[in-house]
Amino acid sequence: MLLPSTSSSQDDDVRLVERLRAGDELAFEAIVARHRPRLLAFARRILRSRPDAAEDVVQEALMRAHLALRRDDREILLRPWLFKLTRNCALDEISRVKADTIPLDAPAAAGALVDLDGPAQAHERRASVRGMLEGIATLPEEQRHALLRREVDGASHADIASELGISGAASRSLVSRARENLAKRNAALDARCGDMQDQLLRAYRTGRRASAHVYRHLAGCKQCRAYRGQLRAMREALHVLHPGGWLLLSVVASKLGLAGKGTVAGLLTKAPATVGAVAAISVAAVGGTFVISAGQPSPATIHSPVLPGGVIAKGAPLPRQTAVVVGATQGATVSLTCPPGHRVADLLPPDAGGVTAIYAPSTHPGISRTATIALSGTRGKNVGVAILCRVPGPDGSLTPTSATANAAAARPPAVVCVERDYLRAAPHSGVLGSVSSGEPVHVLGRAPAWRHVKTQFGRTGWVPAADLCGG
Amino acid sequence: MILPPHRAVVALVAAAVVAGAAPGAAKARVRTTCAPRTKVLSTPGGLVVGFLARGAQVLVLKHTRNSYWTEVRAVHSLVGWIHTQDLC
Repeated sequence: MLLPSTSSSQDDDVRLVERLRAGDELAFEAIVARHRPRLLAFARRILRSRPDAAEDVVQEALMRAHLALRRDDREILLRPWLFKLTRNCALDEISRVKADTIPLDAPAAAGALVDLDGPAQAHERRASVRGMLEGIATLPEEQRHALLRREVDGASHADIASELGISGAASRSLVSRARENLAKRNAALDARCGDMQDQLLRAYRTGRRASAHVYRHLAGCKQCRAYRGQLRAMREALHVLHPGGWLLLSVVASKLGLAGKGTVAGLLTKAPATVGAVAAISVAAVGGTFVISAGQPSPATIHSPVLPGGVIAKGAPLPRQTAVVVGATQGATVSLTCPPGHRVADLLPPDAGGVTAIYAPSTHPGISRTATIALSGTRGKNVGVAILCRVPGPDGSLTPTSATANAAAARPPAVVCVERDYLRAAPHSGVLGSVSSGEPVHVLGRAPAWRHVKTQFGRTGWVPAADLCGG
Repeated sequence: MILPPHRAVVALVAAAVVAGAAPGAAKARVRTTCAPRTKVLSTPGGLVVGFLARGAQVLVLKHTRNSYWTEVRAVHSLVGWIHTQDLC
């Protein structure tokens, strides 16, 4: 065993500690003289690739020991405690030093690193040992102590249990958990960065924590930590300058022409200029809204009767005479204004669940240029909302002009003159739907006091003639 | 005028009484939405005018002939059509 212990040496240590605590500085010099050589050898074994750092590590450990011993009168087993301090300082040193600053040609102090198979294999072995030590440095302190005492010092579980003040079974459990955590860390480090970044993005999108596996990977992956930094920076930029959620992020991606490249993921790969671009766009939108015009990529897949074909895919260019306006709010209402010449059409789904979003009574789709949207259930969160805008046709209709519509449009349309009326299958018959004030309809036929009409959404039915103007 | 949600529910109930006298408003009653997000349309196949969260209370005004659509009055007096299957 590396650290043989005898009762007489322990008694000596106890006396030295008592003298030091009584103010005798010579006692500390005696402690140093007694333990330093073994501590130095121990530190050199841990810092195999940087034996020159062992002196500093032991010096640091002894300084900490001096301060701690003078600070209180707790009973202490000096020798294992000094080794523990030295080990922690050495592991701190390994964690602190970047892997790429460790000289690969450093002389190997241990047989395990002796260059037997050539530089490539030696390099690989050193990297493996270095990785393992870095992994050990990330373990919780008790696990780290138990594992190193067991694996490096060859200490028995009884000794470890005594040092940590736990049972032998708990010591075995600590060592086992430490090995398990190291294995999990290795698996996480071997994981593909693309997968980890996808999981990070999902976590940020849903507002949940990523899995422990992802965080283990992050601890050892500079590239993925940078990716997480970009996510945070972008979110902060958006929230500070213009509160909004992922709908807004999609819009920003759309503005940057990245919607077809996985949107936010694509956005992030454009770093480092991306965050600046996001901030610039956000600044442009402060106090207002984002407007995505015809020809720019759609921020989402949109189904609407006013779109040609009834749908537009996410990332596809918005059709002519169409725009999407996006805003965000934490409050009860938000107003979105369509570009000049456009009119309010569909409301798009809010980007948060559990939220009710509706047009306020002052908003008349097809007529109003500004939509006021009332929200509830936001619970103080930023909620992104958006509307679809369309330029109305000559007949006032928002729907795209088709061949049949052209034929109907040859006659001037009538307009619904009452606040709201039902569209019926036949006069005084069952209801098919409704029409609203200002809505253009084409009169297809007449009956006493009734008109057979076709709405802008292609529905036909009967409405009272008195409720129509013109036509 | 936009009412806060708690007052809107009161208004809904009040509207239920009034709606009983409205032409064509048969068997007015308050129902709850069960879909995670209920889309409210201006008319069946028309424009989207609102989204209701699960559990939103609505006043049923009318059904289409095939009962596929239900006209409702929701919070803030929004009137529109929802899929009947979205109601509990």
